[in-house]
Amino acid sequence: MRIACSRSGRVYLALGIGVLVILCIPGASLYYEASGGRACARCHEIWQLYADWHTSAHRNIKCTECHGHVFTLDAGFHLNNMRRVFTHLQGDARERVRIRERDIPKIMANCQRCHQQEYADWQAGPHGVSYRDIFLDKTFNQKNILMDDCLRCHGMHFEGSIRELVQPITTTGPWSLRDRSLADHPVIPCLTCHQIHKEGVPLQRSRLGVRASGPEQEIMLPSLALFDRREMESVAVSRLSLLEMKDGNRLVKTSSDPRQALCYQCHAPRATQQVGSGDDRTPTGVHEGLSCLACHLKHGQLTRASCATCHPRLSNCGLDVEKMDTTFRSPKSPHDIHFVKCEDCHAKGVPKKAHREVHFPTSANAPVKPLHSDRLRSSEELSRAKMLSGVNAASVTNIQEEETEVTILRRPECYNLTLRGKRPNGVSTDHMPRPLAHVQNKSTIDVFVDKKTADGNTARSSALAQIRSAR
Amino acid sequence: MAAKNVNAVVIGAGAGGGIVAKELAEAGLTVLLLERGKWNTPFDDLKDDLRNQRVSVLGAPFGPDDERNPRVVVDAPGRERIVLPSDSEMEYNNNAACVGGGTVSYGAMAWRYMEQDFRMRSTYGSVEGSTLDDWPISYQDLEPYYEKAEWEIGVSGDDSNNIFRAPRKRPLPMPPLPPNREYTILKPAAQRLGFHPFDIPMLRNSVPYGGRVPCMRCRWCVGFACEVNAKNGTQNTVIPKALVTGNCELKTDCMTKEILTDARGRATGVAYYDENDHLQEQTVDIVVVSCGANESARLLLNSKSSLFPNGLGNRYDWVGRNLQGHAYTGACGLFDFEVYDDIGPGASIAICDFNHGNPGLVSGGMLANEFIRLPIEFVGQDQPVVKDWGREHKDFMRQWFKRSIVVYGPVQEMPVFDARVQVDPVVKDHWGIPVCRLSGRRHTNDIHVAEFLSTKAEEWLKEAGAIKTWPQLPDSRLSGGQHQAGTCRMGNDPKTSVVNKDCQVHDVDNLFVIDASVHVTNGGFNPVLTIMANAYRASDILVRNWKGTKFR
Amino acid sequence: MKVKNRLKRREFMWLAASAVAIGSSISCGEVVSPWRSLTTDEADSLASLCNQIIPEDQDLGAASADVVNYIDVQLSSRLKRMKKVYRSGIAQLNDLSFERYGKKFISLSDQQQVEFLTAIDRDKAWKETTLHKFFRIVVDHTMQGFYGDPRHGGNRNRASWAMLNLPYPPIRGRFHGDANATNNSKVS
Repeated sequence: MRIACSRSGRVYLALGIGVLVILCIPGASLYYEASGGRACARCHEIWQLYADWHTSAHRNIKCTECHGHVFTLDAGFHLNNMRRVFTHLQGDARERVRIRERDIPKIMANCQRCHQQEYADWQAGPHGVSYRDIFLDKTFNQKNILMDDCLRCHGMHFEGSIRELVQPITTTGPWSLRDRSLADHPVIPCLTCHQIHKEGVPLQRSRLGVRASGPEQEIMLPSLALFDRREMESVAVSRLSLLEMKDGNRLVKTSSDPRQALCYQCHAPRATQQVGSGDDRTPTGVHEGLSCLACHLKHGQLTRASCATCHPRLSNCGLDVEKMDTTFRSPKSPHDIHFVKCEDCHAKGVPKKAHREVHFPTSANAPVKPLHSDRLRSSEELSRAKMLSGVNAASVTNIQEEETEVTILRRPECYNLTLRGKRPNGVSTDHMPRPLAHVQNKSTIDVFVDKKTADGNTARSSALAQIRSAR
Repeated sequence: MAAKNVNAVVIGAGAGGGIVAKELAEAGLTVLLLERGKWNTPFDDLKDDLRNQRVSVLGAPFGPDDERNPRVVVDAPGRERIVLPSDSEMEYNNNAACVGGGTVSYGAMAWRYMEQDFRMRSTYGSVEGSTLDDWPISYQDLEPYYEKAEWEIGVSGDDSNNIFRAPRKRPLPMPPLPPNREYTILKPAAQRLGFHPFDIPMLRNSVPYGGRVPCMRCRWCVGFACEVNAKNGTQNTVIPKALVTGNCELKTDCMTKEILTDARGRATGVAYYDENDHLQEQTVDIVVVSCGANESARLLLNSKSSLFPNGLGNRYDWVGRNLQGHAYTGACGLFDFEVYDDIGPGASIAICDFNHGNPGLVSGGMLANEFIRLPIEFVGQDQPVVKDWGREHKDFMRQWFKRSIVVYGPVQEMPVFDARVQVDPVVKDHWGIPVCRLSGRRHTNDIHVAEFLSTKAEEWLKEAGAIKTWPQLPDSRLSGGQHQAGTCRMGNDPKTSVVNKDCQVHDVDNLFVIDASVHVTNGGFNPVLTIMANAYRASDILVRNWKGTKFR
Repeated sequence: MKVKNRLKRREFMWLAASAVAIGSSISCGEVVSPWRSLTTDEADSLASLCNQIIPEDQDLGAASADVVNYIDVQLSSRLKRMKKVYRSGIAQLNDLSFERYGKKFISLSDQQQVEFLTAIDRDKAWKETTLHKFFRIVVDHTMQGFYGDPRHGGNRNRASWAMLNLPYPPIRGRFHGDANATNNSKVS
């Protein structure tokens, strides 16, 4: 098609259109900026994220700090905004805004600006690995065919299957990344364990009810969330589950630190829930019951310094705990802290120690309900139970209408501890496991302790300790 | 445009085609493997509860797409209706279209048919209203190839307690997966009833096998692609092997239009639409059709020429006839204790006590516990306990989701001459190719057997402690979905069959049909291992008869 | 992976023009309905209908688990062809409710709603009517939105799975070791 028009006329026309276009580019961005983001937030695409940001720890940080400024010369930024307007007008906008793999380094740079120490720790630690480290590892690839499930824990933001990431999918190699620019991208970025636009109450810092977290009581940050590759979105740590671990048929005492739920998602046991199976690292032996985060630093996963918090540097027998081969890397290490037992060091027998008796007040015979297999955990209850009975571990069992049973395991005996109290009506159980809700909404709770006597019967303590509720 | 001649074109990269391609390529033939779908991966689905091969309300990720692949179904009163792949209709659902075919997303039960299953006519005599017949081959002919399929593709399980099984020379290569809770509940109950329960053979790694890891026992199994690659299909076993030989080229997104023949009636090539919808022609020495019972019949019927005015192999109007699937029957039981343990694949225990010898009935079927259920699948249980919405239903879900077991099994269907695939005179697909037109219904015997088996399932569940059970029965609608078979019957007489016992089309010596279409009867079992074994057998014969660049 | 984000030239021009138009007119800001396919009234009626199919009790009901959002998303994407069915179905529901009780469906008491819906679902007189069919469709979609995947807009925070005590995501580790090791000894 040709328009009859003088040469100079055409030039002016083209220039005019060009200027118009250049002026238009930031149109969408300007529109957004004019209302401080509220205008777009009224539309469905981003209102949820906008609302989340408003209640998050980052609410005092402007959108532009992370998402780019309207006066930026980055054409991609403006084009992106235009595309959003375009898809919005067409009515086929995505239901949810997703983070794309290629944007991850940009987002991480934003994190790094404020959280420098955490970023440095992460980068130096084992979670700071790149696509090259994980997917082009010859020794691993020669033994294992890569599969899609790898991406559940490494490269969870990658938009494609393993076939679209690495080639060839064989044990012979040589392997390469289809998109070479990914080589240095992190496979476990900040967003694996944190959500920035987090759901929930602003700046709620809850104290954990469990001890055993090292030198000081830890603070649980509300941003903790697992990026779930299946749904391609984050699941808040409060909604993740903790498993009941087994060692053979024995129930292993585990910490109820809810942050561990994040670790368990990848460092997971196989379906048998046996300690040490799959990628599980639940401690047994002398360190049974410790939370992962009791020893591992949050971002760097370093542990070395943690031994000395509990152990004197030089023990009575002259071993330097900081120089022992406690690493998990060598399966042969007898002092692997995840399963070292007293006998591993005290080969000639464990020195006798004064045994602390647990005294229960008077006893009354009472039948004990059989343990139910559905077990849940609650940190507050457990710590209360521990404190009260002086025994080591507990796990909540059967939830009755009227009462909650707690099993306290202490080899070789087993105690049943009953927290009794009416289940209040209309309690919201949305955000917490049921027994916790139950206990939290009760001002006082009666505690019985059932003890198995030598003749196999059960004795129930009648003197009741009054526990103040966790609140 | 004609591409360079290849020795063999295999149409369809599913259970049958994948194996044929590998066997021919390893024997030195140049092979072109055409697949109408893509090489799908778990990322195409990400274990979506609403978009999988079982629950396809939001699409069927491993099947043909809705936009391009309609079908016509004629119901009993003769009303025509267009069905789409994701419609939750018996007529289409669970059909696959991707590299690996149904083996990507199947449940992976790996059954050998029983000896009687190959001699149904001799065992039961003729059945009125049915074209019941014997296979031209026996179990013994297929036995070595069953074994080859079990060891090459990989099967776990233990059928040594199945006293009804046909004799096997070699045990299964992998032990069964450790039992789940349903198994421990159902096994003693079956034994008390005098049944013979055993571990289901499955094309699933229970230990490392073929360089791949064992099942991680997740919640999303049948209907989904396996993310740890523990589910063995042709896409992760034989097809990669075929490609490694360098003799096999795989082309995806290629829809075959027709098989071309010359004036003497031999197949000379295939015409197909490539990924850009351009029509291509490929000259070839032999053509192997492995598209599944519906599509194989459709392709033959659409390959019309002056010599074959009714389609290839259709001189006596047998192509597309005897379409069978499986009428699924069973029962659901509610328990007053938790039976759900969140450990996949769920299906673990089976009995073959009622496959044959049921008084007054022809044939029967295997019974097994159902695969692990997702909440949305439990909603779909047709339960007579409460109305299916409202307060009661929510309570029902809360109370029984983890306290229910389903025992289920496929009824060996009677082949019916009028249950058939035709090509529709009007409706065409995206490429302008006439689509499948399905008509006919199940034999009444199938319904009687289903009723009988469901009472056995209820008996089993009650013995296991179910406090309430109800039967789940099929209706008489045609089964053209999963387990489709029978449309290109294998036989010795060209007048009553389409292919000979070597899977060679009677009229055309260089045209083969190698998939479940050739099954004379479809057993009371999931058919995949039989498809695989027969593919090994047919390719073995084909390779032995192969002489240089021309066939015979 | 190929990035499919590059704009075609024509698309770009179109976009540029539209960006100005949109940038200047804030009409988009005056949102008529926060929903994609439904009007606010329709969404409210649908919410009370869905809430009868899966009522609120100690666990979330359909509406608070975002089932209406699920339906709205589907009506604007995969189930576009059902938009009319919903529009006329909701209108019919309200009309009939008005005829019977003198009120819109949303204003009926809980008991009246259940009674009305049970009649539509169960009574022989209602079978084969469009309203009955519409109700069955809503039942199906409500179940999908409530028990299905959150990624499609429903099942907020996996409420239904939590209700059924199904932990999510399930904790699953894999076989940890050399996948070829045992294989070599087994395959002959």
